[in-house]
Amino acid sequence: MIRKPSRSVQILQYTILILGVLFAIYPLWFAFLASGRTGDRLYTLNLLGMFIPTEWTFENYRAMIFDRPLLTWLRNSIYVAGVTTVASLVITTSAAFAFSRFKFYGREFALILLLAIQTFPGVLSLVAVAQLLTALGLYGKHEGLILAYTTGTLVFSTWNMKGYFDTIPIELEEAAMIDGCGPIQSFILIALPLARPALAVTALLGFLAGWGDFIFASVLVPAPDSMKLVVPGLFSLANSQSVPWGNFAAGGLLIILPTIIVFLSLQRFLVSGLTVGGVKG
Amino acid sequence: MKPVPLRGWLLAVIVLAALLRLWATLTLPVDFDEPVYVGAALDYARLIRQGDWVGVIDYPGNRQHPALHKLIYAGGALLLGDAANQTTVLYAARLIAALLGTAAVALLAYTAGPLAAGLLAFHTLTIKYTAQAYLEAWPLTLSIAAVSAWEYAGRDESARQRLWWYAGAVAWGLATAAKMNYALVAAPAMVFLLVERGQWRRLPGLAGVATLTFVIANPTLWHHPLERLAAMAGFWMTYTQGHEVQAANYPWYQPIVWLATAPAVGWHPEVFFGPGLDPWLTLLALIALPAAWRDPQRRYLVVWLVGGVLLLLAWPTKWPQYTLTLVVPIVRLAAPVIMRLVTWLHDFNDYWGWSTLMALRPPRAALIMLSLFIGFIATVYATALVTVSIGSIGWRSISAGHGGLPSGAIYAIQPLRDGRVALGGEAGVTIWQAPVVSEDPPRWYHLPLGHVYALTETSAGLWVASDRGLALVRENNNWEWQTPPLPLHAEVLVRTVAGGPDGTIWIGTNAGGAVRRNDGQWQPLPQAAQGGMVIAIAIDPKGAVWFGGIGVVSRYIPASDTWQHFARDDGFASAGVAAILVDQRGNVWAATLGNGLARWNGVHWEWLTTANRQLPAQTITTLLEAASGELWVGAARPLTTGGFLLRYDGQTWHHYLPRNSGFTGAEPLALAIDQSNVLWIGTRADGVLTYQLTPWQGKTFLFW
Repeated sequence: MIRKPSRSVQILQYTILILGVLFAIYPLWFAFLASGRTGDRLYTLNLLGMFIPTEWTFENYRAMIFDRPLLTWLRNSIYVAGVTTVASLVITTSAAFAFSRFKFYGREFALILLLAIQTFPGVLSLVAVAQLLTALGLYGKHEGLILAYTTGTLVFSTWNMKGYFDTIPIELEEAAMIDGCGPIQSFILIALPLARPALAVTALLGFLAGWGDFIFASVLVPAPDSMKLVVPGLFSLANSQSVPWGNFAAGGLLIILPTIIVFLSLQRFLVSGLTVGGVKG
Repeated sequence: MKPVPLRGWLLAVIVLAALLRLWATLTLPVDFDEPVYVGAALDYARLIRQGDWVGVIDYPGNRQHPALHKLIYAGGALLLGDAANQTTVLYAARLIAALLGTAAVALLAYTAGPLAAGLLAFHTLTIKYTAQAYLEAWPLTLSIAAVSAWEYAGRDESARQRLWWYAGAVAWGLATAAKMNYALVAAPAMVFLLVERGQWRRLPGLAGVATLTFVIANPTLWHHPLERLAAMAGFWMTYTQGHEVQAANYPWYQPIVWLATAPAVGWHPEVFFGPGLDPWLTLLALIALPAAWRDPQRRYLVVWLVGGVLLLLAWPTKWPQYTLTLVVPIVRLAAPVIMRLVTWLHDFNDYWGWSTLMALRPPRAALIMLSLFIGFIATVYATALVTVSIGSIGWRSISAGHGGLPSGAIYAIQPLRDGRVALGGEAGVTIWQAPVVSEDPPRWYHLPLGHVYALTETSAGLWVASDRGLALVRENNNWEWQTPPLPLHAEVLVRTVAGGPDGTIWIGTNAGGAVRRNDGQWQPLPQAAQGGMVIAIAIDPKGAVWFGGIGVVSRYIPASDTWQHFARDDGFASAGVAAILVDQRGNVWAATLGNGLARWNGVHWEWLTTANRQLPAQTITTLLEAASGELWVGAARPLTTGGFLLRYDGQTWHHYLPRNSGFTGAEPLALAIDQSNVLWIGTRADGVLTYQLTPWQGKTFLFW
């Protein structure tokens, strides 16, 4: 039997929830208000203006889209995040399928090694990665950044994908092989469509790695402006004398939208992709 | 889902082509040859308006190209009437070109289907050259018409067949009269169509019709046709060895480079988004060549493309627009390949169902958000770009080293009575003279008169205030020094000069002022600016003379020999007065270097500052009143380089910014409007900017 909470408990619950929602949403709303304010001001002396738009201009959006190289940064980020996503998908699905389906020498060791690598904080590898990329001639290039991000996503995504492949009955692939499919065909035509939730998670992780990172992006591709990714690009708008808060706010709101769109597109796969693969891995 | 009918596709392609070309018309910068063709169009329009038809026939400018396309542009100039000038006709010609370029797409859609037309609509090099005032749009359309008419004539067995052959010949002749290379490149395909359809006996007659059409449509050939044709051929032979071609130094295979890349995207990334389809279309056309050769109905396309490429490779001049002659066969060859690829993918997916299984199928919310995101960015970007593009119409920049300007610092500008414009800078005086024939470059004369601070013109000539003294420049550009032997200062330094209506000359020095009476005698005025440096002088219609100095403005009334000084108590503090202006309403304006703009209303000074008016800065560098009474103001940015340009119409301050006009944001130091209603803006380091004011702007006096 479910006991209905009393009215006072309900009021308390809703109050806490509403406060929690306000606490979560207000920073975004604050940025939205700042993005429409004139004169690069983060605050306004008008108390009402801190909560609702009492003045509005699209000038900050115009400046970011037209005067500043935001579109170039967006293009760079889409390229890096997109290629990282595809590379992560290709490498991790094939690696995870091999770990899940084939028995080979060193399999257990490789899986444990991957876990061991996962425990190492990624940022500590930054200097080594930079030196490696310099040696490869990829320092300061998007391709080097893609390589760094892809390797960064490999461990979790491979484990997650492997866990998901383990839940797919191998009999389905065996049946396909009886019908004439080879291992690659059974992988592409049978296993992959069934692993869509895990693929969605891998894609999302790959995209987020390339889109929202600041440290790797600012160190591995430091200049010029035309090469920067969107987050370090936004950061570079500030200088020692001034911070264009309005531009910051407008740019920040614009660059979170692609992430929201990608998240919304993959949303229906995410829960099962994370829980099934993660829990049973 | 109901398939889109063919008519819908045709309409969509035409609308898309028109929008793309309209966008490019507004946003592309002025290209190399555009001023030449626009100048010719203006000249033709002038001759037609005067009824001088012989002048039209014998017009000497740009004879290397037939006259038809330029006469079409002249039609635009005639429609503009009094508003026709280099700027307005440029954009009128561009609109005409865009219209004709869209007509080429529409014609191709009708004759070869919407896919080929869509590819032509998207071809970036074609968009560029059919949206600028070049001579490409009309011959492109006519070459499509000519080839399509003969292709149709070969298919049609009815009695109307002969009409189509002759219609094609007329179109061919008209294409030649617009620009000859389109007809030349299409010629092998035309002849091939004729021979392949067994109609080669018609060739002499059709060639005769085409030639007759060419002569009729090209008025230049109505007098001395053979002589002028020979001169035209001679020009092209010489041109191939000329300076421009040699300087470009393109290799023999450059036409292939133009076709294998999307050069317009690289030149104008702000106009063309994305990588451009051009090289992919060329590749697809190459892939299609063997199949097209095997198809008798399409074999002439192979002849058109291959023959055209060989012609362009052989021709020593390799300008990118020449490759537009090959775009039509390229898109017509590429279209079937694309169609075949789409069909194959469709069949593959029908068999495996891969896309059904793996399709992401995002929820409606994601699609709506994506559409809003892209739509918002596109709208903001397009609005900003169109605002800048429209605002940039009429603006030109003349930087140092370009067009004869010796230095980027221009401190004074004086339009002269004979139409010339004198520019004073740190390297002396440079006199600009408009060309006699529109297509010629302007003439520049340089007079080394030291660091020039101010200029003024009287009946005696042009007076030049410089660090070397006072010079008088006569009409023949000879000058003589007229520096007064004043004991006021140790070094020769004349900061400003002004001419009175009675022939007197007033100068400002680093220690007061001086006046030269009509008898040629100089009288020192140590009271001017309280004996300090005089930077600005203005003479009001009532005879009072205003002197601007450091922290002081002095008013001198010669009739009563009385002085009045306005200094700290009036708000001038220690800032220099860079310019003084007496407007047509009797107001005296004083531009200060730090305190804002002051207006004397006859009783006291009213101050316009950043705090109480819409001035963006307090450092006002220059002032100008237009004939309309509008006030133009130049200001400097505080603590950094660059400046502002403003116009006050009595009610509103209009700000000219890089985001809404062609003003580059340089610091204005001098302003003037010449006889052609062009605003000249001299800047501290970026040379001169010119802005062609509209006929209704600057001439009609505004009552405020």
